[in-house]
Order: sequence, then structure tokens, then C-alpha cells
Amino acid sequence: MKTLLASVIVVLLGVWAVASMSEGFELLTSEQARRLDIQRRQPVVPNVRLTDQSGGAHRFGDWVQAQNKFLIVDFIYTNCQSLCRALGSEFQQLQRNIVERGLQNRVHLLSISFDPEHDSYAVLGQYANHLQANPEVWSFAAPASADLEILLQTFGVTVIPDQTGGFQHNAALVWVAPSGKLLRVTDYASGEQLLDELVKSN
Amino acid sequence: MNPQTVAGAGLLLMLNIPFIRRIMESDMAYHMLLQFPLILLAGWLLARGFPEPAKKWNYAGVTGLLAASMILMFWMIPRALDLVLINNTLELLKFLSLALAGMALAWSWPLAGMIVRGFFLGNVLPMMMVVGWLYIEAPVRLCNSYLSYDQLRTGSGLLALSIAGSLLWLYAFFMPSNQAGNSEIR
Amino acid sequence: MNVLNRIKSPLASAEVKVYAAISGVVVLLMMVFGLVMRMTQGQMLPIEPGLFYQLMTAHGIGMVAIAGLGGSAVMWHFLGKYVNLRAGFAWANLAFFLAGVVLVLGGIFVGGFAAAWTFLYPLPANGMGMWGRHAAAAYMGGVLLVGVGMLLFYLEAARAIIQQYGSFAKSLGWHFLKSGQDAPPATVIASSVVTIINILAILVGAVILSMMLINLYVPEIAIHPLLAKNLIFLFGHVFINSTIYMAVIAVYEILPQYTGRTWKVYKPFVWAWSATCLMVLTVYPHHLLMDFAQPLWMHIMGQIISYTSSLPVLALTLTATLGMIYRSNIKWDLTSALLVLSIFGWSAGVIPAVIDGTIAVNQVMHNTLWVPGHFHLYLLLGCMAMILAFINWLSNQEKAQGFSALDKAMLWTFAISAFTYALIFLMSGQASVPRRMAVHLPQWVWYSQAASLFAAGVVLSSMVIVVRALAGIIKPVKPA
Repeated sequence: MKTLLASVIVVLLGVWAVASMSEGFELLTSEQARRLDIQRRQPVVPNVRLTDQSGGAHRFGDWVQAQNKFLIVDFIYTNCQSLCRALGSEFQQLQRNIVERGLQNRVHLLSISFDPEHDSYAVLGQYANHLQANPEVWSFAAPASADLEILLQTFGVTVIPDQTGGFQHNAALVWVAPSGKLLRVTDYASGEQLLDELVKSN
Repeated sequence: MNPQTVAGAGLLLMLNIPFIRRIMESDMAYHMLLQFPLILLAGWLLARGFPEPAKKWNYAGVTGLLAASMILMFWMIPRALDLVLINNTLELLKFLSLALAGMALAWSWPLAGMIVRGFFLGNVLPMMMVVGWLYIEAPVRLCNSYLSYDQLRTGSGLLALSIAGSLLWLYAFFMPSNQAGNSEIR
Repeated sequence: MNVLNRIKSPLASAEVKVYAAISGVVVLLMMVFGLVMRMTQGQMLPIEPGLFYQLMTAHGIGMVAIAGLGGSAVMWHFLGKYVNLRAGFAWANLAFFLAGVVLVLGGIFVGGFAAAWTFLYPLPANGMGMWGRHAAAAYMGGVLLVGVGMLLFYLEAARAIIQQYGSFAKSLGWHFLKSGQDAPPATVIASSVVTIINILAILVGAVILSMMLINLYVPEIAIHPLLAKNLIFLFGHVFINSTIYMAVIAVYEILPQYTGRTWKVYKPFVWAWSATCLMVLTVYPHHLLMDFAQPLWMHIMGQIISYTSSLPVLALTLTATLGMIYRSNIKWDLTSALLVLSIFGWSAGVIPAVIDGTIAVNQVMHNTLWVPGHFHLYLLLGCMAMILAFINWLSNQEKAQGFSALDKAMLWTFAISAFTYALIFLMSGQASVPRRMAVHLPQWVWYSQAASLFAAGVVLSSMVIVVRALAGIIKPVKPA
């Protein structure tokens, strides 16, 4: 009987621990946790200094508000061989889609490099050309090295170097409101759906 | 003091040396497949130095084995593995709970008969298989702090371990059973 | 040995009676579901397709589970005569079983889950508005709970067998192959095989069910669909096969009491069961012959093993049964008649299975009603006949009884209806009628209408047999 009681306590403790770690069985990974966290807190983009692909310098927060558009943000580095390529072609498609639907005034794409040491504005410019980015729709930018940490932290991006001299990072699309609030984080292939929702929302 | 206890305490301390800890946690496979079992082992060894908990609270080792499987399950959640790297309280909890699981195993395994052991294995082995498979199959990295290649190796390791465990267990069914487990069948 | 080994042989214990009674009642309900499905296909009932697929899911999982429970009752009852089984585990199994059933039924009829009992990935996660992920989770969680209970049940069986015989090597009779001495009873051999394969099957089932549950809530973690299908069929096929290997114990134990001859264990019998142990685990790929992505060697293995797997045990059981009956002055009553019928049903059911196991045939036949024809033949006429015989035997205080006119009428109604019913499935399969379809083309409707008639015959005769047997089981035993 005592064993039964103790076992029930142990099981309850275990379920509680698992439930709290998984936010009530909703998630298993830190990536999901980060997405849920951003969706709940809706933090504001940090007002860090960004340099765009043509060398122009902006304050991130001010720039978002000046643009007064929804932003779809992804994080990349130009030397990337794997994930960012998928992100790149996803953004290419999104760009085409935005132009076709005439959404240029409402949505803007932004690729931020987390490798500012290497990705100078000239490198970014080349990269943008290579991807045939239309500056009206799609911008590239890199933060100052000192600001990288706070930027990555706000967006919940983890970057770790891998054995081949590149980086592994969590790839996702971050949806930023014109007010500068981060609304949510979705899979990198979910851009179409976001546009649909945007069109439907009014 | 019991030499086993000393060995256990020593092992636990050694695993906590920042340098060794950093190396072991730098790679997901070392973290799950080396550090975890070593902490469990340390707990197992330590158990000899502590008074055994009252048997009426741990009939046939049920409570202990249940606790051990719960703790193991918790530490197989990818998010937990990620969080210990940035959260020191959780890291401390990891060491304490895994050592506790090791102690629980040391106290409870000899008490348990075929059925309780079977139930424990029937829980833990499929769980390891599931997590291993999950790590191998996941198209994305489940732990943001680890490389996807690490994840693949860890998954394969877990899978191999659980398959080996299952075969060993199956084999035991066919062996003459005069070893432990027969005398105290529960 | 056979007699010496008997520790106790009182009448059935309470847990066996409860198992048998629940099996009887649920089987009837599931048979009614089957009848409703056939009538729907025959356009005799205005059932919406959505509800049809829910009924189909419930009929499938319900029959598998209850064949498992009924088989367990047979195994528990007779194995308990040789080894020391503790009733607590049978009750614990039943508790998990009932909790699981509540979840499964809730998932199906409240949540609308209708992905067929095989819950093939990724269908459960894609309800398309028919069911949500919680319904799928309730269903799969319920199946998992039933599995947990069964694991406890078989672990207790394993513990008891090993305590009595030393190891599975002994209880399977391997020493007897060498020395020719001390053969374990047929019941113990069969129980050992079922225990081993079902523990393995349940663990595999636990893996795939947990994996799919995780996938439900974390869809990014995709599963390899072919691997998932392999694991599901390994689990499901072994489990459903093992029901007949448990139920056949009734033949080994009850028939000898009617003929006055003992069921002797010969070396081929030991060989056959040990071979079955391996073959049951490897035969399931014959359900995946249409999956072109499956490695070729698995197709070939599936074909070969499906030719051989049921044959050894079946052939030996069939010949031994014939030998036992031949010139034995067997006393005929409902129990013994059902048992003999079951052996023929099992044998007949293997024939369409072997045909379907042939790759060339399978390519065109597997998604037709041919396959339900095969498994209804061996499960309805084989496994179910054994379980009905067992229930009837319990209700008759485990003695031979008179063979009343009503008994005879019901036996023949059951035998002819069940056989014809399965035959219509096979004919429909031959006419390329697809399986798992709520609505049939006009030219197929008459098959379903005819099948409904015979299904009604099966339901009616089973109902009379079960209801009368239940009365006998529930009735308090008169003091001798």
C-alpha cells in the first residue's frame, strides 16, 4: 500500500516535470519553445544598427516603423551551403508572389546575416544580385558585431559553428508587425501561407 | 567508508570538473551516451553508502524503478538537453536526479522480480528506441545547441543500445533461471 | 507428466469467467457492427460514410482486442492448471483493457476517429476535419493502454512458466527434442510461444504508437512511412495471429476429455511450435507486397513464410485432431462440435491466405474483399468458434452435455452462415470489389445484400450460443 502511494507520488512528480518542461505537452524542443515564447511575449525588435546591402545604415526599430510594412525576416550567412539556400529560394518565390499579388506596399522581406565579420555590405550586395533580389521587396542587412548577440537573443536564433567552417542555425521565418513587434515564428517553408493570411485579414 | 561509495563520489566529482563537463557536453552523443550513464553509475556506486530506504515503501522495487524510468524519460526530452547548457540550476538538477536514478536502480533492481524488471525494461527500452528513432528521423535539429550530425550519431547510439538491451533480455528468458530474480519472483 | 504436472484443476476461476463473459458480449456487439456495415454497403441502411468508417475502425480494433481477451481467457484457464498464475495480474490486465477501450471508443465515436484499426501513418494525423488530433491521440493512447495491460499479463505468464519449467528453452520442449524425455504439455508449449511473440509485438507496438503520438503533437518530427507500416503490421499481425494460437489451447485441452484419449506431444509438434515462434514474427510482409518501396528480399520472405508459417502447427493440429476423433466414440455436444468446426475453419482460412501471399496474386487482390474473406474465414470460423466452444464449456461446468435440437440448429446456422459469409467476401474479392469502401457500385450491391443475410445468421446463432452460455456462467455453482 505504501509502495502504491509512493509510486503514485513518483508518477505525479514525473508527469509534472515533463509537463512543465514541455509547456503542457505542447512542445519537445527548444525551437518550439522559442516560437511559442515569441508568440506569447511579442518582443519589440532591438534598435540596433544595421548596414544594408548598398551600405546604408539604419536603426532596426526605427527602420521598421518608417517602412510601415509587415516584415518577414530570416537569418542567413552568405557562405552557407545548406539551409540558407533553402531559405534563399523560399524568399525568391515569396518575392515573385508578392510582386504578382501587388503586395509590395504591405510586405517586405529582410535577410539578416549573423556573420558580420565576413558579410560586409559589398558581400551582401553581391549575394543579393546573385539571388536576383528586388530591392523594393527584399533587403539584406548585417548588424555591427557588437550588436549581434542582442539581435540573435531577441529573435531566439542559436548559431553554432560546425566542423566544415560553416554554421548550423535554426532556420525559420519571423513575422514582424509594422509596429516592430515580433508576432510569430514559423517553418521556413510557410511563407505562402502567411501571405494568404495577410490577404485574408482585410 | 565503503570503497564503492568513495568511487561513486569520486566519479561524480570528476564529472563535475568544469573542463571535463565542457568536453562531455560539447557533443550530444557524449552528453547522452557517456555522461548520463556515468552519472547513473556514480549513483549506483554511491547507493551502498546510504541506508537503504524502507522496503515497505519500495515493495519489489516498484517505486525505485518507476522513479528511475521517470527521470530517464525526463532527460530524453530534447528541450531539457538544450536547457542544461544555458541554465545552471537545471544542470545541477540533472546531476542530482540522474545520480538519484542510479541509486534507485541499485536499491530496487535486486528487490525486483521478473515482472517488475520486465515492466521497467518494457518501458525504458521502447522509450530509448523512440527517442533514438526521433533523433535519426527528425528533419530539423531537435537541439538548437547541437549539430545535426551529432543528433544522428546520438540517435543511432540510442537505437543500438536499446536493441542490444532487448536481445539480452530476450536471451535471459531462455537461460536456466537460477540467478537472481528467480528466488524472489514477484 | 501430463497428468502429474497438473497443480490444480478446479472449475474456472472468477477472472476467467469475467474474461469469457466480457468477450462473449463484446463479440456480439462487434458482429452487429459488421452486419450494419454490410447492410450499408448493400444499401439497406441509410448510414453516412463518415459513420461507416467509424464503425469499421471500431469493428476492427474491437474484434482484435476481444479475440485477444477471449484467447487470453483460454490460455489463462488452462495454463493455470500447470503453473502458478496469480489472479491479480489478470485483473490488472482487465483494468488497463477497459480503460483503453473507453479511450478507443471515445476517440472513435466522440472524437470521430476513423482511420481504420491499423492507424496507418500518417492518416491519424490528417483527419481533414473528420477528427482532431485529440481524437487520434485518444485512440492510440487507448491501444497503448491495452498493450500495457497485456504486457503485464504475459510477463506474469512468463514468470510462472519459467518458475515451473526453468526457462523457455525447457517449456518449449527443446530438451525433449534431444532426449525424448519429459515433454512439456501442449498447453505450456503454446503458451510459451504466444508469450514470447506477444511481448515482442507489444514492445514494437509501444514504439510505433509513442512515435505517432509524438508526431501528432510535433508534426515537424516526420516518421518514415514505410518503416511505420512495417512496425504497425509486425505488431498487429503478430497480435492477431497469436489470438488463434491461444484459443487453440481449448482444442488441446477440451477435446481429449470428449474422446478419452490424451493429447500426446511428439517431436514434430515441438518443432512446429518453435518454428512458428520465428515465422509468426516474419510473416507480416505479405501485407506489404503492394508497397513497391519495400526491399525485395522482404517481399520474397513474406511470400515464402506465408506459405509455410501456419502450416506446421495447423497440419499437426489437424491430423492430431482427426486422429483423436477417429473411432473414438467422441461425445458430440455443442462444445466438441464447435471445436472440430474450428479446426476446419482454421484450415480453410489458410488457403486464401496462401493465395494472397503469392506476389503475383497479391498485386491485384490485396485491396479487394479477398483479404477480409481470408481473415474472416480463419478468425470467425476458427478463432471465434474456439472461443464460443470455450464459453460454452465453462457454462456447462466443464463437462460434456446433451446435444439439444436447439444446439444443433444453432451450430449448423453458425457454421453455414459463417462459411457462406466468408465465401461471399472471397467471391467479391475475385470480382475486384475493393475493401474499406462505404459505398459500392450498383453491380456489387447484391454481394453485400447476400452477405448481410448470412451475417444476420452469424449474429443470431452466436447470440443464442453466447446468451445461453452466459446464463450458465453467471449462475452460482451448486455445491456438490
